[in-house]
Amino acid sequence: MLSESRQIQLWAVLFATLALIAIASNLGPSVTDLGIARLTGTPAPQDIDAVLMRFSLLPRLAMAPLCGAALGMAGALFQQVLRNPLASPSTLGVEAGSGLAIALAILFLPALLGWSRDLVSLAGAVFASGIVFFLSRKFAFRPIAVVLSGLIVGFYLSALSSTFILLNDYQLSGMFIWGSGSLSQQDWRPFRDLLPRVAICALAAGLLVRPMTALQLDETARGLGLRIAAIRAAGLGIAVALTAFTVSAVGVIGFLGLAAPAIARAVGARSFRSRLFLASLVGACLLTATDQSLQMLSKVAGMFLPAGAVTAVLGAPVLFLLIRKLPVSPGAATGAAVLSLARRPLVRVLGPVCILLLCLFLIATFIGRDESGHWVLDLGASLDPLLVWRLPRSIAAAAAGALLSIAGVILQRLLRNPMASPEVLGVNAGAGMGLLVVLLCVTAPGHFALTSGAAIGALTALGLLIFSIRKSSLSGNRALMAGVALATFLFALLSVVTATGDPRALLLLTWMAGSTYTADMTSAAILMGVTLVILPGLPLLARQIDLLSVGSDLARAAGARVERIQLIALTLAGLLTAVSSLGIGALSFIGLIAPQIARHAGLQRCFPQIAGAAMIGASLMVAADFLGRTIYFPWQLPAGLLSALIGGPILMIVLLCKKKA
Amino acid sequence: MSGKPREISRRAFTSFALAGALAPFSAKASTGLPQDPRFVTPDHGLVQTLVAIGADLSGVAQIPNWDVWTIEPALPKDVVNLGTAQEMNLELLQRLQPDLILSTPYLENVRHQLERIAPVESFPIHALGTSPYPNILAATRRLGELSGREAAAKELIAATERLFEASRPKLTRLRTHPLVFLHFIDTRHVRIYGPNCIIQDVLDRLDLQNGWPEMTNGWGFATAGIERLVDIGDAWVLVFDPVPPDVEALLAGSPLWQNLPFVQAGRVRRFPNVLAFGTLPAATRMTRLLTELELGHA
Repeated sequence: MLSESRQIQLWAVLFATLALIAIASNLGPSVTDLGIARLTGTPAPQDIDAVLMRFSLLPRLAMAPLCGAALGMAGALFQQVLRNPLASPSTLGVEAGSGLAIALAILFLPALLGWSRDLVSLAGAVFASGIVFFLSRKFAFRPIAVVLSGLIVGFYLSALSSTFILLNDYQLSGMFIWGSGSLSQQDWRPFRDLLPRVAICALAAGLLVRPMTALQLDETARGLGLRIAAIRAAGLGIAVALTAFTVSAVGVIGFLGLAAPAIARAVGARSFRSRLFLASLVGACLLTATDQSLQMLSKVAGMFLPAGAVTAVLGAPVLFLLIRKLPVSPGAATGAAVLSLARRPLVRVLGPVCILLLCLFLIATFIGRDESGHWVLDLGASLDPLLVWRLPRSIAAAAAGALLSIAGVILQRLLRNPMASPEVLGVNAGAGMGLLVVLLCVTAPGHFALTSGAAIGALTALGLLIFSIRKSSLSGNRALMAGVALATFLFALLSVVTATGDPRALLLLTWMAGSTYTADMTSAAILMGVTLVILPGLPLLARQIDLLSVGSDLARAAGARVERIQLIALTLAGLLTAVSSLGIGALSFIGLIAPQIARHAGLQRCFPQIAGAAMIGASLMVAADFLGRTIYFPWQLPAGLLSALIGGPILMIVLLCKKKA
Repeated sequence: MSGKPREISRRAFTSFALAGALAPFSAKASTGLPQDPRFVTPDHGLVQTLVAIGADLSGVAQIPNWDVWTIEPALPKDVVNLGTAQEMNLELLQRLQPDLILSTPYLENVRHQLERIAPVESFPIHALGTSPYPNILAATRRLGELSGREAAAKELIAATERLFEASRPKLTRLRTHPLVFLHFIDTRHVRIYGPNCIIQDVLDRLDLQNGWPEMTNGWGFATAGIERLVDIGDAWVLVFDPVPPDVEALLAGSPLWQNLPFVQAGRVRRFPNVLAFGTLPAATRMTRLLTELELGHA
């Protein structure tokens, strides 16, 4: 058995070799051809090969490891501070903030971009993380609070920018490339700007290694006289800065920040110091190797392939394979343990929510806009032809909201991770994958072809997930990582397609935004039917899940059949997610947020939380669907996006109000 | 008395069945539309043709994009905006009560919903892996039939061909070097147009050469980093409007850009936008703009 440092050195050499091989086979031949003389000194304008090498290929070669290392380091910092293996640069909404700032500038203040695109993006990132810091400062930067507010802010901002992209796809076509992280360079300036910024952050991170290691011990650390909140804030600040600088230079290369630290941990980096080092190295090597191979590939294929998205496509399977090597780590800090939550009887929460849902339903049925955009109350004969458009949408939205919320409660309870939303199962990514395949392979696919494609994709993903969990029993973070790896893989494939500018991608983008547009009586009936069928089984399942809440060892000792309960619950959650994604598209933010609102409204036990979350989710979605089709008439905003825009602030208010009380 | 009607009815039946079977192919019999039918469509290319032949248009998707990306011909003032092209507002369509919805293959997934409102006819023009020009001509003729303006449609086609003929001799100065048409997507990436796109079709009809040597996708464009422009040698580079505001300043300081052969030779010009997924009015617009192009001294 090798010692930890020895083993890490070995892996480091392996990763570096991989990257070097890729560099040598891509750039080696042309560098040798050009020779030193043509690569130094003043470039001769006629010598276009030398110019290309010096001002595009070499800066790109320098940029890749720098960005990779920065993101790997940022990921390691995030995961250490937040004590959550799912934490990554996107957790804190940094990328979403940058993206929104750029989109807004393109649409409303192009002069700002002319001044500096870099600073606009940076300002967006600072704004997003500023909100997260403001919110989580009140909770002394406790992991659960940071993660929740980060997720909400991130979802909120990216929902906003997706809305802008859907409405202005021509002007914002550059956002697709930005979102898939292209490393293409024409200049040394971006590298020269980024290098000192990353270097300063790395230095600061180095200084924080000792106190951050002590952070692992949490409560003990407090006893040692460490200022926990200050250390957390500093760690987060550095990680945010690293992400923001990288994103503003090359766009989103999101996956590295998640995968690099996970790979580092999987190959045996146990201490924070070695993890920080190895994660940076893995990030640098992975991105460089990918980008170099891509250059070779796109020469042959003649296709534009963005490094960020392709890294995710290649890296996700690696992560998937390494999951079994992941130590069954302390997992995520759980919600209830950290935030003391009030209890309220189910009736007191459910009553008002039911009345609200009813009111929303009536509003959504009778109120609309006419040709000239005036608000109108449609009754009698004028309502008749419109009902066929309004009712199926409201019903499908309500049912899907309820289903996703139920799935969300099950997952968050089962995996004891507040970040577990239905999309971590990768099921709706599977559905999206099915859609993509049908879109690309069938000319002018109809409703039936697309729905079948999505269904097959969702079921395949669910099968994969169940298979991977059966093999390596469900231990919180492993199952999550499997789902996240799958979801990342599939969504990265989607973003490769969007980056090429394929107009069909817009259809997928709409679907991913959670659109109720295609809901008709059939799909509404199916969604409603599924909801009614599972209702009677829920109290039973809830009791079983409650049994597990003491921890699987204790539950097993008490006679619970832990693995079976877990498998059944997870399969159910997956099926519910699949059904709802077939009905209303993929955005499952509702499944993250409704359970949280229910919980913070005082529903602590499993069944009340399920019931409350289902009704809250249904109300949110009905409201979102109604607003989506009326508020910016005649444009339609996807209900999934609007549910994030409405639900995010509600949860934030619930969180903050309770803090005051 | 008894035999005759039966015989007539049999003959009538036969001819009726024949007419029914031939309906999709025979022009006039198949439309079944009122005198001056009201159309709605998500596709700006189809709108261009409809406006050009003077058809009655009640709703179009993405109207705010028209003045930036489609531009010609001017859109009638009373046309209602339907929202995005992929999700036209169905309630609004229901209230507008069009006679026919002119759709694209991208909307096949909601066809069953659109058909609740009005008959739907889909026009496959782009992304078939071939030149869109024959499809555009077919669509123009079909739109002429549907709107009862066959003569106007024929005249639109003839006028376009005449313009190609008349412009060809005026463009000799553009034949010294190949032409490359591109859009800047952001500061580092361009979208370059080629085969499968109407821009290539216009170049072909004007005997002009496209300088982009590599593949384009089904829609007729390729996405590439600016460094790939090394491959086009010393072509004329025509940059479509709109250009992101920070591109010019950035390129001015980029040694790569400054050393590209066409930049060295001063052969880069801005070009007003032409709808890349457009129809005949887009082709005539591009032709006219090419004849008006100021090349200066280079």
